Order: sequence, then structure tokens, then C-alpha cells
Amino acid sequence: YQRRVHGDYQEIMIKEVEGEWAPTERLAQFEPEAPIAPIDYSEKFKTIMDIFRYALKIDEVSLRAYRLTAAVIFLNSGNYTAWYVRRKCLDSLPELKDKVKEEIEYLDIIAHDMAKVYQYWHHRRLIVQKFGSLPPNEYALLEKFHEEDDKNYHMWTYRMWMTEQFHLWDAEYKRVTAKIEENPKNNSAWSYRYFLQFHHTEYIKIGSAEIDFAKSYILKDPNNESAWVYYKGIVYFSPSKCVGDKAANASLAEKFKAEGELFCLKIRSSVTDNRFCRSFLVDIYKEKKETAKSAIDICIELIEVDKIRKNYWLWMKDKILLSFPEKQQYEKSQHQYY
Amino acid sequence: IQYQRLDASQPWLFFWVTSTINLLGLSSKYTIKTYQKKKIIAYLELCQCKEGGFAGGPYMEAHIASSYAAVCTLVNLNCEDAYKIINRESMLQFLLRLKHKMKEPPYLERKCSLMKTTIPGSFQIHFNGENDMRATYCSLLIGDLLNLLANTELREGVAEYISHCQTYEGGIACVPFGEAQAGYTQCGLASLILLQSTQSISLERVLEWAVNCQLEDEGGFNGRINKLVDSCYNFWQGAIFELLDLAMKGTCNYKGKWLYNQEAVQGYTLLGCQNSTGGMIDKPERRADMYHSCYALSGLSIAQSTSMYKELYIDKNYFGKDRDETKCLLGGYNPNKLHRVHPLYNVQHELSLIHISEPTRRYAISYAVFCLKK
Repeated sequence: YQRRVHGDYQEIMIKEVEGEWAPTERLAQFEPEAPIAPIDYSEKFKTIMDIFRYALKIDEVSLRAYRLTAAVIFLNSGNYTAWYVRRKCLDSLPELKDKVKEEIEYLDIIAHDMAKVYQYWHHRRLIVQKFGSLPPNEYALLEKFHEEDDKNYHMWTYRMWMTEQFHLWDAEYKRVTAKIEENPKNNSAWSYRYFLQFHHTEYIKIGSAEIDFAKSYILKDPNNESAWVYYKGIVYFSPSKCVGDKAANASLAEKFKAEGELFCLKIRSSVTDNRFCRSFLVDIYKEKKETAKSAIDICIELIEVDKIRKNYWLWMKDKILLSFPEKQQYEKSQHQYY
Repeated sequence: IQYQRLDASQPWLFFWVTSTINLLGLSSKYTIKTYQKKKIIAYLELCQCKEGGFAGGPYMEAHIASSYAAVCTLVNLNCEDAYKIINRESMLQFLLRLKHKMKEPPYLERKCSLMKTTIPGSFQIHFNGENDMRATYCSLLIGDLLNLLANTELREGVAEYISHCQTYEGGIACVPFGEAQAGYTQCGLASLILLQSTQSISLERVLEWAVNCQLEDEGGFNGRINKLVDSCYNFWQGAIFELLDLAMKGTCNYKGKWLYNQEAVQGYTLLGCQNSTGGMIDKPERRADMYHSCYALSGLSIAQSTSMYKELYIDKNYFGKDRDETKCLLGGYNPNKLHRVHPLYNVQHELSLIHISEPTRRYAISYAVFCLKK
């Protein structure tokens, strides 16, 4: 319903915009004879764009130019110059000085077509920044986007900026925990959780709890790649990147690896053909000479269990062998893989 | 009418079309004729802005992604008339204007038409525009093709910025702490290779992330963990494997083959992604479009090829069994073989490039292009 109403509203708006510009205030697109890759424009599109080209040529910044940009954006939301002219109007025209809130409302109204439009999200960010505080409707809008597509990259990136800008860390923590519960395989939610938890908290304070969180989801569904990657990320990626003394982080990570080994072995024995626990074990075992043989054995298991990645496991096996040459003798006698 | 929404990205249309035609390498009936080349060149000249860079359309402001598409289209056209129109000096000024320089003071601005959302080392994609990994990649790539990368201001801080964008998943995101995504990972990795700073990130983690994006059932790749397959990722993900091989000095392959299942990608593309009336599609039952035609085929080209590192860097006379061209072809035979694409630039390997600098020299686009710049 809203789309149809909005569509009608847009038709009326375009006619009004057209009316504000004299028939001579147009600049046609340069069309050579037999253009090489013509886009099949509609009449409506051509008219509005002709007016827009004229407005750009004379560098007009006015109320009618501001209204014109809405028409251009409706016809082609990717027209980045139109968004820019709109911002110029908002900045320079005295009539629009206090209309930032109205601009945000306009963005709310047109939101339903704009989910994947870079320019929309960027514009929204700049306008909210100009507004200076969290708009009252912001969460409701983000939830609407989330309903349509809970992995919308622009939405999550925007959300990250919003949290940092307005210090929404605690409230967002509750929300992201709920979202992961709703859809445990939503990797965007896991990624956002990582952002919230590890952005400025010390690794030694947060690492263990977050690992437990990941483990709980792995136990619910041992094939949840997001949970496994989160777990491995905390063990291998975070120690050197997170807040805190790097040496202390590293030694805590070693403890996590030892626990991880036990956890993975348990999964391996209780869940058939699980590639994630095996892949984690390879990471743990391949670091040390004493466990290199186990790493190789598991690579060989993975060649069967994870067939699509056969080339990768063959390569990994060879790489481990190369780093521990004494094991090559073992390899020759035991396994014949091409 | 569906292309109305690309009215502000017209150079891309040229790029996708010329790339696809080049890759297919069909008989002269299907190549780009001279008169067509002239028209494309003339139109792109209209899109070039006097302040530097190319815009998405003849009356718009310059845009980094459109500039990349325009420059690569001109490379695809493979003729001196094409390269001549590019204004190197103004392009450099354009890129520098959009770069967030290291010594810039922190930015405080009330006017939204002047605000910047960049962090040190990164680029806006157009004036007062958004900032993300695509801008970095396109800038450095243009810089490389036009021999502008000697400029320290252009290069400063970029590697560090990219290193902040590697996520716990292993891939690279659009902004620091974002979610790893195939397009941004290819952009980030390619940028680091162009800067010769691949040690800024963990290559093994990129490999692990990328390898896990291949889907067992479909054979193709997804772009992020737990998402759906899409044929355009044939290129964005596939190129990562070849780029890793470059960055790891020819050690990221198994007996010459990339570390993903090449036959499965070929199978997915040929069996699932061809539209019955022409063009390539994202996944079965979608509509064909130029973007997918270009990237599904570039990706198919990578899936059909093997590592050439040894030959290009180590021993020109190397001719081991790794170089069997049919080794990776699905079914082992030739009718589907495309021309080889370069994973950095996404243009055809065999094109000769007039090095657009003083004095002009000819180089083949290959790994050798950046190798020689050492």
C-alpha cells in the first residue's frame, strides 16, 4: 500500500517539478547519430534529466533545484550528482536551514526502494551527522530494513557508524544477541557482535565469554559456519589486534587453543563428517612439530570429508610436511595421494 | 528501460561489454569494429572531466569507479587512439583530491556537502562521496596503468588502512570491523599487490576464508559466509586465488591448479548460469545482465587456467606438466575455453599496453607489468 501511495505521490511530484522550469530551461543529452550504447530512456526520464542538465550547467542552487533532485533521485537513485546538489541546497538555502528533520523524514518515506543504493546510505549518514543526534525513528527504520533483508551490507555498515557516533554500545549488545538467537546463521549479525564486543574492550576480559557464546551455538548446530569462524577468529585473529598487552593476549590464546582441541575432538567423535572441527584441529596441530603428524592425518580425513576443498587439503598437507621435514619419511611409507 | 538506473554509471556498460567480447575471442564477425571503437572513444572523451577523472555521464562530476571503468575500457579497445585521450596529469590531481592524506588535521564540518567520511589512507569515491575499498582499488589500479604510483602522497597509508579492514573471518571488509566480502577482498588484495605490501595482512587467513566460500552443492562461490551462490563471485573469489599465488610467489597452487575446485565452478557456470536467449545470469531463474555476463565469464576464465608464476618469474623456459592448458577444462576439451584474464585488472592477458607515460613504451599486460616496476 505504501508503495502505491508513494508511487502516486511521485507522479504528482514529477509533474509539479516539470512545471517549475520553463520549456527553454533544458539541455538535451549529446546524442551522436546512431549512439553506440543507447539506454532506452522513458519520456519522463528524458524531460527531468534535460532539466537537471540545465540546472547543473548554470550551477543553480535554489528551492526548485532542491525539488528537482527529488525527481531525479526517484528516476535514478544512483545519480550521485543529484544527491550532492541536494546537500548543497540544504547547506546554503536559508529556507532550508531548519529543515534537516524534514529531510530525514523524506529519507524515511523513500526508504523502501533504497535498500541497496550506496548513495542513499551515504546521504543519510551525512544528514544525520548534520542533525547531530539520533533521530527518533531510526531504529524502527532499521528494523524495517532488517525484516526485508537481514543481511543488507549497507544497513549493517550504517549501524556500525551509528553505534560509534552516538555511543549505543550497551543497547546494541542486547539487540544483536536477540538477532543471533533469531537467525543463528546470520553472519552479518555475528560480525556486528564482534564489532561491539572487541572494539574497545580488553581481550582478557571478553575473550572467554565470547568463546562460550560461540560454543553454545556450535553445540546447537555443529554445521553453523558463522559460529565456528567466530570462535576461530577469537583464538587466532584477536590476540594481536585487540586492546591489551599483546604478550598476555597471546598466552591466553594458547590456553584457548588447548581447550579448543578438546572441544573439537569431542565434536569429531560425536558428529559424523564435520569439517569445521577437523579444520580447527589442523590449525592447532600444525603449529608444533610434536603434533604435525596428527595435522597431516586430519588433512587426509578432510580430503574425504570435505571433497570440494580437496586441492586445498592436499596443498595444506604438503605445506605441513615441508615445514617439518622429518615427517616426510613417515609420509612416504604410509600414504599414497596424488 | 532496466538500464535507466545505470545512467550515472555509463562507462561500466562499455567496460562489461568490451571485456565480455574480448574474453569470448570469437571470430572477426563478433569483434569490436573500428568505427565502433571510435564512437566509444568519443563518448568516453565526453565523460572525462576537465578537473580530472571520468564521470558516470557527460554532464556529471568525476567518479573513481567510473574512471576505472573508462580507463579499462580504453585498454580493452587496444589501440593508440584510445589511450591518447586520457589526461594523466589531471587524473593524478583528481585522485589526490579524493585521498585522505596522512597529515590532514581531524575534520570538523557542519555543512553536509563538505563532510568527509574517510579515514587516513583511504579514498572518497567522488567529492563528498562515500569511502570504501572499491575507491582504493580503482585509484591504485588507474595509478598503475597510468604510471602514477611513484607519487608518495597517493600511496601513503593505504596498506595500513587495508590491514585494518581485514576481519576476524579472514577476508577483507568495506570498512574496519565490517563483514568480509568477496568484492572488497579482491579489491584489498589487488591493492596490496599493486603497492607491493602484501605483508600488511595475513594471506593464509584470506585463503582459508575464500576456500570456505565455495559451496559444495552448487559448485559456485558465495560472497560472504552463509550466503547464497552468485556467478559474479566466480571472478571476485577466483581472482583471489590467483592473486594469492602472486603474493605468495607461486606457492599458492597445487601442481599448478588453484586451491579451489575449478571444475565445479566451470560446471556451475556452464550448466546453471547461461540464459537461454543469451547472456549470463547470477543463478538459475534470474534475468541476464551485462554485469553478470562480464564477471561470470572472467571468473570462468580463471577457473580454466593454471598458475603461470614459474614461467614469468623463475624460468622463462620452464615447461612442466603444470602448463597443460586443457588440464583444468571441464570435460577436457576446448570449445568453452576463454581468453585468459588478468586477476588484478580484469582485462585480457594478451593485450599490449602502451605505457601511458613519457616516453611511451609497450608492455604486455601480465604479471610482468608490476614486476618490472620493482
